[in-house]
Amino acid sequence: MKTNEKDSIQSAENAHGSWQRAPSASPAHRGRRGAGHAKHRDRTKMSARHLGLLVLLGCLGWIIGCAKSLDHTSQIPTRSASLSGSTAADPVVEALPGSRPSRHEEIWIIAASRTRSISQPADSGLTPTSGALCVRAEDGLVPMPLKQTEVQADLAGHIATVKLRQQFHNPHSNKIEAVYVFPLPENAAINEFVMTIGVRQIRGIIRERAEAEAIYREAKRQGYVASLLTQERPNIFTQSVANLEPGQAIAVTLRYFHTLAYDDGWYEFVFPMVVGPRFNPPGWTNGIGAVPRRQAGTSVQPRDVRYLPPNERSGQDIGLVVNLDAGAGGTIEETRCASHRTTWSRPGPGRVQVSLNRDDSIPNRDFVLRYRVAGDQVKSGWLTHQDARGGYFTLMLYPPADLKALRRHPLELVFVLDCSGSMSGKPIAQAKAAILRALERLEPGDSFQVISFSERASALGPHPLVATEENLARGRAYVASLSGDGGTSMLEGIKAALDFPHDPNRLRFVCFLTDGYIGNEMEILAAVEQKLSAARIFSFGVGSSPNRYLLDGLARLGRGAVAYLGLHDDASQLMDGFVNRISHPALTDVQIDWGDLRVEDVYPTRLPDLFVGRPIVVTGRCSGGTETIRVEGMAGGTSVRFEISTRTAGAGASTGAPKSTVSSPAPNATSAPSAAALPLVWARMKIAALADRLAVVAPADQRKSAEVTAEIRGVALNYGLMSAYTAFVAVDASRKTTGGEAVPVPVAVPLPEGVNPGKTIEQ
Amino acid sequence: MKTRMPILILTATLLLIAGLGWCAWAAAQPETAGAPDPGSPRFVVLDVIADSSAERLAAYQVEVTATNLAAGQVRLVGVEGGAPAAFRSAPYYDPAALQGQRVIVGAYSLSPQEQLPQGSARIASVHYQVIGSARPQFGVQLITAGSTGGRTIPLHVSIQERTQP
Repeated sequence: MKTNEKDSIQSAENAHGSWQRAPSASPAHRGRRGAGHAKHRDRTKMSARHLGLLVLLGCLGWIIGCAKSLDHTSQIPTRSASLSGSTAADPVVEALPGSRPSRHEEIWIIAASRTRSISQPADSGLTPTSGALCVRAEDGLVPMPLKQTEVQADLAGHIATVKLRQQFHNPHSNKIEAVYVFPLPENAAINEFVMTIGVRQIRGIIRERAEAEAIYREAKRQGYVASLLTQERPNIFTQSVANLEPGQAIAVTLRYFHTLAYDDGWYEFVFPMVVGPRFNPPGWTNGIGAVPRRQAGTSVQPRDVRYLPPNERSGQDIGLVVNLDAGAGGTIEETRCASHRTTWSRPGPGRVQVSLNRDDSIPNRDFVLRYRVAGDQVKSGWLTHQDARGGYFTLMLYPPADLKALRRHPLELVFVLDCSGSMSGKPIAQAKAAILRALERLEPGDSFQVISFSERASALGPHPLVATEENLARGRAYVASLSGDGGTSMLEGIKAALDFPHDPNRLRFVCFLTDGYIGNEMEILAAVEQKLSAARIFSFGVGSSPNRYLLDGLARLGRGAVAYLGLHDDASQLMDGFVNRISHPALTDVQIDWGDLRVEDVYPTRLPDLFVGRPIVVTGRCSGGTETIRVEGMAGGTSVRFEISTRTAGAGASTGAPKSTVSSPAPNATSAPSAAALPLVWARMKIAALADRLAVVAPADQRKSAEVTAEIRGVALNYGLMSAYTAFVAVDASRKTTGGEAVPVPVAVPLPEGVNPGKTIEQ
Repeated sequence: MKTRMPILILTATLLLIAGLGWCAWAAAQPETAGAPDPGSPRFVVLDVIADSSAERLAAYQVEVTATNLAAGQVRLVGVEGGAPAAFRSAPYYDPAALQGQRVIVGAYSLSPQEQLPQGSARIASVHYQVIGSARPQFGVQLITAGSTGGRTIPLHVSIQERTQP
């Protein structure tokens, strides 16, 4: 035992000393050597452990070093670079799994909202939701990056010139990217985009959309202040402003032109203020999503609108001034604005200025101004403009007055009522009142049908009913029983309204009453084009902020007309106007003989019927000259002809300096200065006509679709106009902002007045 | 085993030192988030300088070209107003002229005569995105310039690439 103890001590000494090769052991020392081997094995094990640890640490250090330096030494594919077809401003873009974030982007992993999760309410002060900062103030006012919108509209003749200034600011302590989805008139020809930083003004450039988006993404990534305007629908746009530093303010100014609606002596100017919540049919992924402000994640749609709950308001303010000009010798006889409180003044002869009251500046409904110019003798007007690109014209074509003397054929009225959730409450009450009024106006030889649709369509009966007292009572009871709930499967309504045999003894008028809050407009318009047959569609936009692109499109493709029924309008008056109009035969199969005027690219390509009191605007390119234009059509079974004197010697014939001419004896004739907008109005109408064609041919003929798309892009680029395939981009390349990547902050908007949030917003 | 042991220890120690050293170096690098790689697009600003000598400048039209790059390598991304108040509004550009490597920029001012610029002034700035590593060579050419009465005046124009801070 002692020996062993001694050996033990020796071994311990050896262990603490230097590493020595053990002397060869004699058999006599085997026992001791055996013990010594055991000690040595222990020692070797310990050394191997140390060695392993060291190697491990070394490798770990190497790996960390490599990983750490990766960001600086090799190019990581950025998320934006890997995203073709997505918009830069889309929060979804920031959250795509599979795209590799660089080191400074790790925060955006929170927005793994590509999972399409639209649950998990998140509102606790400063909360990132789908990659966005959302702040809630205690007083219910929510600070938003959009601070103010200023609108100035100049109306002359039937053309409006509108300047829209959006003032963005950053109320947060982080650098942000403001993203604002907003509406404009569906026929707006946007040709100017200026970004203002302090006193510096930078004009944006029109480019192919994908190219503009790529420029914007790169500028945003590198830290430059940049802005981008893209079109989601002809009446819905997205404004993105990147790298707004804390406390910084940036304004974006747009200018656009559009023609004014004219009906029974009244011009109508509309400025839409909010996008209504769209319903997208199951499986549809090309719509506009509607999500609550405080909700994490996004919808499955490529673009979302975030809505404030009813108890919240954004700090956004809106100012609006409209200048009416009746032209030389003209007088503005009357103005009406049922949508908002306004004040007006007369700054000069023939001029009226209408301003939105500051105490009525919540942007939750369309601003609608109607005005009448003195002189009830309305006649067709002819307007031309000549510049380096050639000649352009618009013809305001009024129906002949003697149509009123003719009686109509028996009618077949098909009322199609949208009973979806967005219509619940006051909108559907207004729509029902309108239908009930129309039923009262039916004559004994007429027939009628009532179709309602939400998720599915249902009808009063399998066939239209003759307008007997008994049937009318049934109809009234059926209308009274309808209420708004569920989704908006408008296709079902279209099918139900147009998919049944036409009664040759009656003129069929299909009356759509809807707010138009759907995301599949193209699908609906294509269905109308395919199924219309001999019917005519009259669309009635119901509510405070209807989808005018859809409703105007339904009427245009349905060869009828559109009317709008606001929440504060008189439904009976509106429907009386409609019934009076269709109580006289329209001028159908309209043909225009242009004489020796060489005319091309005329829009609309298919002239609609001319109804009493309702003119149509025809625009095109022209050269040569003529004194008289002849119009011919059928009314009440007889041929009707009338002539329009252009009285424009040499109109559009000259070259050189821009020249505009006007011809109309009516005091409300278009004044020459607004004629300079004619090329843009024409280009916008051409784009709209091509988009209609695209809706019809796509996706059946991909080659044709590609051709039409290229044509739209070409027209938009040549005339510097916004379209679905072009976009405005502006970059301030003079300075890089500091700090990390900008946090996207969507501008949440109020729901349109009268819309029920519980039945419209995705939860 | 015993003979290899010191070499292994030495190798491991060196590895450890090298790895930790690299790690420390990488951490010490400044945050250059969003900095473009040499081959990635970059943004430049060109100032357009005009010298009208003793004349008051009321309107101009100039053509800026990138002479040495292929189509698509230089993209106009913004046109900025000039330094004098009379030309502070963003100038206009010709969308049709964007197809090639040239940009036609023009502006006019309705300011009173005494507020119009005289002598040398920055009348506009042109913002570009440049693709690729080649350095573009820009040129500028006067198309026309005028005074308040619409009279054509001589104007010397030049461009200067702005250095970014």
